[in-house]
Amino acid sequence: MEQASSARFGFLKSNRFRILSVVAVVLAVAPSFGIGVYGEYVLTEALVFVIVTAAWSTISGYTGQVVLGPTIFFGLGGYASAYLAARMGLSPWLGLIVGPICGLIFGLIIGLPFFRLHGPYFALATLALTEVMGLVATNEQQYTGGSVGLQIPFQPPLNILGLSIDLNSNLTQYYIILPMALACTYVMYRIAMSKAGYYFTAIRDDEDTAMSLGVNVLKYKEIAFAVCGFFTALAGAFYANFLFYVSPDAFFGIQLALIILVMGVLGGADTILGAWISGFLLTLVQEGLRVGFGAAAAYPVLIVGAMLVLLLLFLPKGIIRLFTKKRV
Amino acid sequence: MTGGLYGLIALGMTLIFGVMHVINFAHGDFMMIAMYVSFFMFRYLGVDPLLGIFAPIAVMAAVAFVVERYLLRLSRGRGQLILGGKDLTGLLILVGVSMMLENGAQAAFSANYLTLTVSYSNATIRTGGVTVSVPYLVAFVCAIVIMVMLYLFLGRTDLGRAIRATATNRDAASLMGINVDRINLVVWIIGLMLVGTAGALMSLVFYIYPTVGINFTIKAFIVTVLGGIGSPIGAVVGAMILGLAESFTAYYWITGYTNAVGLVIFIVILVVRPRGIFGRSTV
Repeated sequence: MEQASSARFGFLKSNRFRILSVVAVVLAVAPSFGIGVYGEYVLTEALVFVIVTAAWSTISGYTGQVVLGPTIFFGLGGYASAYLAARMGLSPWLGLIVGPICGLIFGLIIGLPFFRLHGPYFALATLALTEVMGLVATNEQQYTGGSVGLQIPFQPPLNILGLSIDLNSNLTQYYIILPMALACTYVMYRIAMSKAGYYFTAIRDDEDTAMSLGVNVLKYKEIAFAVCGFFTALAGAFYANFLFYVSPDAFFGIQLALIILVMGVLGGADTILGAWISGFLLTLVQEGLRVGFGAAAAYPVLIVGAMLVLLLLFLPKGIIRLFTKKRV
Repeated sequence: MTGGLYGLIALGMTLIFGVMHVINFAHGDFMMIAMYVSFFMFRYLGVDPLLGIFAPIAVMAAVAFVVERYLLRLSRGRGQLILGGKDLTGLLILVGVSMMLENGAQAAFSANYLTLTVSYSNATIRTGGVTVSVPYLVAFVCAIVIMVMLYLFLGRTDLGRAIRATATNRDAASLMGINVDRINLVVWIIGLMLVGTAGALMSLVFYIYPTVGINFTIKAFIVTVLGGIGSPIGAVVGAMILGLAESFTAYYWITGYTNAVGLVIFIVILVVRPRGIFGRSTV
């Protein structure tokens, strides 16, 4: 009993937890230190990518089924949100519930055929699928608004207990995404540390051996894919609210898919908490370069590509492996 | 007739993929560079792309040398990023190279669409009710010729046999005294020289712009999987099928879905018959 409870609450006593709490507190008070609207914008974006990267790590780093097109779910969540608002006149924030459910179900469905594939074939099949979805979003104009995408109308302020909350402001959105990112990483971390998480690793390290030892390989791959789908779609749904629009390029684009990939590798593919390092680092680097070179310049992605190459040559296990060898 | 061009691009990919087991994610981007080389040769030196086809081929050979020798060889054998039982470092490095080339080209040449117009760009030959564009015909003939040459090279020469041995079993080939590193280098150089050829022909019929490559990378990959990995005949036949499927989609359905049809074929073939039409090994 003693041991069980220490295992269950071990995380709360670990260094990782202390570091994360400090980060959380710093982020929570950051807006009151005058980082400005742009600062809030950048931090919000970073937190969205923390969720996406952690979800990517669950399927790619932990389970070993590298997804090159996580935008499948990102776009699905985003379009679900925007569709609710622009075509059905509901609140786009309902997308935070509908989107992840779509992502989860879609992950389970496409997992069935896709998990017949291995390694690079699976990776490229996901990229192909996200391309197809982008094309569908471009061509089915009556549902998706075509290549322009859908606009999300401004929402009237919410009244809760006499408080008027403006969901359109950057600050409110920041305080929505911050606890969301913390909760999401915590849940994914718990999944990765659970028995299922060890099955994931077993499948990654040697699928045949795992199967011979009684691990239901397809089931656990499906679970990992559904987890990835759920959280990526959640982040996508939020991102649609954050940008106030969805478009095939911004949500299904290859560029975005590849940047998520770089983030996944940067922090450490087989870590959930590494997402906090890479989500922030890469978003800040990109925004910094954008400020330096102008928004339309090609240099940010050029440098991100160079970072990926150097990283794979010299630090393929990711930044977090400089600090710890443990499962994180 | 676009099939001929796809075939040329896919031949390089099937070779690299079949031997190295690395998916060349930057394949189309290398072709983009070759297209720019052809374009600048034509604009500033007045060299016809077909006569000056050696320039992009030479540039591609040099690129292949640098990429293989200085990027991929460094990462090989360290076993650092093995996921799902496969070492994906090579693929991911090429993803990075692709991002660099695309955006580097955008920074250097701007994102404008360029066209290279020669006297025969729009020329057509009419035979028995079928109109064929001359550049496509040239590409088609080139693809067939190169396919046959490649087939003979792989089957009949010592170097070709060494390449196939390496493709079948790297370690055993190494034990038999084959210098595997050298084979890798040779395969990359041949593969990218084919890309250079494709780029020169492509510059005649296609717009030249920095992001032209990614679409062709995907198409080459579809064709490779469709035809069977490592099979030159498969690459050309697969390319024909893809070219026809796209033309039919554009003609009978919606132009917007021409790119989708290949991807759907790709997903279906992977799930139904992963080894492709002419492939032997399973995925």
